[in-house]
Amino acid sequence: MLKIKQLSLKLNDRLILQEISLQIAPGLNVIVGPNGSGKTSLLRSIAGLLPIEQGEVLWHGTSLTAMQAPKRAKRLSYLAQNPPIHWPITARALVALGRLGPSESQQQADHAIDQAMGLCSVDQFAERRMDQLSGGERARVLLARALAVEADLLLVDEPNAALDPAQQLAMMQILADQGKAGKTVLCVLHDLPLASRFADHLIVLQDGKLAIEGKPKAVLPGPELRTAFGLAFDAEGHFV
Amino acid sequence: MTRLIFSLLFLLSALILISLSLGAQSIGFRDWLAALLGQGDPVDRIVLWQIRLPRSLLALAVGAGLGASGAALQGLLRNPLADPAVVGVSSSASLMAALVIYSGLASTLPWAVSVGAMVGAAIAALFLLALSAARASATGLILGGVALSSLATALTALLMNLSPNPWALSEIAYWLMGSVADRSLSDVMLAGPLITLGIFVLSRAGRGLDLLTLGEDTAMVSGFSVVRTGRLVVLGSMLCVGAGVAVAGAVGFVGLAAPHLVRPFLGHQPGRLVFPSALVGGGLLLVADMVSRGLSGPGTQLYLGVVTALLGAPLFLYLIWRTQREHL
Repeated sequence: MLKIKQLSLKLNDRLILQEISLQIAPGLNVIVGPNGSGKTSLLRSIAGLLPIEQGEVLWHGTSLTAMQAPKRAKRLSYLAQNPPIHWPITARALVALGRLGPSESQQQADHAIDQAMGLCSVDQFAERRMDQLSGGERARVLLARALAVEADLLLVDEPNAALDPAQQLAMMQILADQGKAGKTVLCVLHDLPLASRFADHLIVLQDGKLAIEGKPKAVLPGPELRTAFGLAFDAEGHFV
Repeated sequence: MTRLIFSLLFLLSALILISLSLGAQSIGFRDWLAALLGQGDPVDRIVLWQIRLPRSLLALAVGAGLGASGAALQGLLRNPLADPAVVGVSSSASLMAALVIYSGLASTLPWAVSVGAMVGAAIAALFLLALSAARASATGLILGGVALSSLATALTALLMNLSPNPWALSEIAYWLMGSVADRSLSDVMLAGPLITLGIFVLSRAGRGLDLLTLGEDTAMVSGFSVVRTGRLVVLGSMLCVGAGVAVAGAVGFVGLAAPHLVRPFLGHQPGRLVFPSALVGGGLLLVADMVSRGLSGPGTQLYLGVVTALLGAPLFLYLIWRTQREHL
């Protein structure tokens, strides 16, 4: 269970997140909200990339905020939105970056890498260079790197950016499967129909505050989402 | 990777033997072999053990240090054009060595030039570490390094401009061209351990460099300290380049070219390139020194830095051409 208690974040004297409290259970949890509502900042705060002004992030009762980075790295995995790939390494070498931690046999690492590549269906182009892959293939390899960590908490920021509909569905299915397998997946999305279709739990942010959370079918047609986006949606996440 | 390293070690051994057989003094194969085994003519032994061996070992060590530094800096800065010269370590070391020659200290204290070069490399390292501690981005570090390099080059030119006598001017100019000629085993004993330590420090940064492939955020969430990786690379480069400039002067292109020569065999993963680049860098400088010896005549010495630049530029253009063809 991921517990966020009264989390506030200030960047350049601007309050980005204000006293957010959430209890996030295993499954696919999707964060939505208008641009600038604090979705990515919330994910980065949980990952330890942004200094929290006040509040705490607890993972099974232990503070992630106070935890040392190498220990935290075993518990959570983070996939940034469009992360840079500075060198044209092979798909397998990139996935292997998820298993660079010390004190592990090569056999253990290879097993985790093979499994993650299989889950994301990227094993067929394992030896191809990242600059020779399509956008969808690249996105799945990046997700495989995050899965190879084998952490129980998976933080994913906009995994579908610039992907075609088929690739978006494939990506969401992998995340939903991870949720069903008992992982706690926290994913930022812009696409409300996809959120409606795949999310177990929906979290809506507006102006750095928690607007509402709950089951997607209940949250999507509600007044809070209408206020947040200035538009009305049906239970499937389509404009009405 | 193991296969490549063994192949490179075999190639280096062959290059060292060839290097030991070349020189102004002609020695027949049997006499050469006897001298190599510590027997035979005493003059041949002196030529082999006290003139040629220090020269070959220094070329190997200096090249290895430059190659490893180039690979690690390219990984840290995520830029294939980075090398110790770009971030100002080489030019700062050269500036301080030039300052020692300018001040006249070099004529009374022969080791002062080496100490000066090490101090120069340390000043550059402190500057880069301060930038890194201030959480400068890779671009910030490169720009800071370029500024430092420009300043050091300008100050070296100023020293030459204000040179008190033609001797000091020519000494500085020759130092800046780089050479491993007329060095002794004590130079090897000075530079060798420092460069070995430097390569060891650089190789400790390997995993951090690999993770930086996906940017600083991914590296940090994966539990690796970007600051620590930066420190290891800067300190390792300081040791390698400072010791290299201390005994051989300024030698360019090796740090830039060595990692590019390794990539076609090992791929682009930065951490895997450090040690093989050291071996390739050592080989490159050994070859450059042999070319320098071959083209130098009586009374004319072709300096090592000139040869590396002359060989390095076309080699680098070829690498760019090949890389572009790969992407077509």
